[in-house]
Amino acid sequence: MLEAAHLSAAYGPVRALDDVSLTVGQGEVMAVLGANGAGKSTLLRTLLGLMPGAGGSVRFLGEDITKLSAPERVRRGLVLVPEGRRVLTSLTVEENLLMGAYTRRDTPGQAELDAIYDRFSNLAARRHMKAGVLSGGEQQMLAIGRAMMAKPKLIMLDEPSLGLSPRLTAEVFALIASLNAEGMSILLVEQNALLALEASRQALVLELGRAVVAGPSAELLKDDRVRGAYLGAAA
Amino acid sequence: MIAQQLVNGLMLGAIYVMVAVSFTLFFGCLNFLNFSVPALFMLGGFLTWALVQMGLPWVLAVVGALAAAALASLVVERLTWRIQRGGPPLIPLVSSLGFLILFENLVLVRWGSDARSIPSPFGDANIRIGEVVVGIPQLACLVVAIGLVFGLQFLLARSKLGRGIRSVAESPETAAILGVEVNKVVPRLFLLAGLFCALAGVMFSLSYQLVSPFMGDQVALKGLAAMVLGGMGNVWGAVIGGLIIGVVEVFAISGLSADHVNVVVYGLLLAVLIIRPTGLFGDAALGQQKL
Repeated sequence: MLEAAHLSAAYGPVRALDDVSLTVGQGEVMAVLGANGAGKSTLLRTLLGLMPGAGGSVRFLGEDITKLSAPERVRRGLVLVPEGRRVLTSLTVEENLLMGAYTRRDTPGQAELDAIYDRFSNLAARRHMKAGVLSGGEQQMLAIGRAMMAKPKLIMLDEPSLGLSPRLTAEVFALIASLNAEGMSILLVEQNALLALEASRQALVLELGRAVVAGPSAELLKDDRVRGAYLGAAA
Repeated sequence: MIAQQLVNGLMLGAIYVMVAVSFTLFFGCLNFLNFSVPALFMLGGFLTWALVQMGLPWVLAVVGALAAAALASLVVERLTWRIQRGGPPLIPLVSSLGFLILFENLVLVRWGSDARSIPSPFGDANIRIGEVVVGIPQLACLVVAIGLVFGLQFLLARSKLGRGIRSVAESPETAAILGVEVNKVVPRLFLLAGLFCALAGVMFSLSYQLVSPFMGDQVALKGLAAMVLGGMGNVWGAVIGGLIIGVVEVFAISGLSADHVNVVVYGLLLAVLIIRPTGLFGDAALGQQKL
């Protein structure tokens, strides 16, 4: 459902992404691994159309979206949960959720908000509080709930476990699994390579902006290069 | 007598409130001290006079003046804010100062520098409450100003555009990720804030019946002082600050003399800032995240 070919992007003279191609199938979880600065976040920003001057092409749901703006991509159901959650701290929890629906032409009803609150009971109790008072885990849940308000077809998650305790990380990954079980396609950028490979079907490893390994996650789990570099095992 | 001065002060303050709210929208949402505000104020007031001179009915003249000021505000957005966003914040500030001088002098070139008296469509209509005489136009200004501020607060708090504006105010990057078109939201904010101060200019000209190309400078300086007094970036602070400055100004004129006005008003401002550097209703974090 998402096919990107020969993506490239740069920050000024610094090349951050170099000829990266990937395909995420309907209902599939794909993981993107790599060290800090490998270009993982840049890849997601490029897919969302936030990198000016990016090269390559992107197709989504059979449509060429290469020339579409980020709002148009979000409206079509390609949604990003950014690194560091980026909840709007001066807005209330509920206003954050409504901001998730910003690109939609219809107005989200109370039933939709209630569905999010059912899933995230911590948010329900704090719906009228400023999002800035939430804990890190709650902010991650809010960021995901906010993305769901866009009626996404594919959610891109950038480092959802960053800064979370092992227990909360497990919760986030359980949530990813349940969203996927409901049919959501997911593109997951994650530093915790083991968790990411276990949660995904396909995976891609980026190094210095280039795709160096790609394939089924189960095979990458056995790949010596991946094991040595990202799983902490002796090569 | 004191009641009369208080009423006069509040009505003058209503003008400052509108200008202070305009400054506050730019500063609170965009961290942009927009110095073209006095020019937008002047365009509202002066062009109302100019269009009436050309034979237009009052209502059309006011609409035309507001439209011209709104257009001017959008020009400032396009040529200062949009181009210079992300650069040093002083650059849009200086450019907006350039636009202030440009707009004022364009009007000067076309109509000359004389102050013009503008006939009031309301005549000398007033109502008496006991000893206190209340001018109808001034009363209308006060009511309209307060009503508009409530309307603005409702818009910011409840509407989709309001949430979009507050998101851009907090983080343009996050807003963009959520699909907010920053380049559509920001012009709407310029439109809104520009109309606020242009309307203040119209109110001023109808209440005090005098316009000139530089009519915005003194008033906007007091509006700026009102924003700082109330606490920068806080709409209600701007409202209270504007009313206080209006009242203090009127009492200074009647109690001392017209020459003392600026000494008293800006002396008060400095005194407040020495005691409360963030203004009456401001907190330590200036600028963003205040709406």
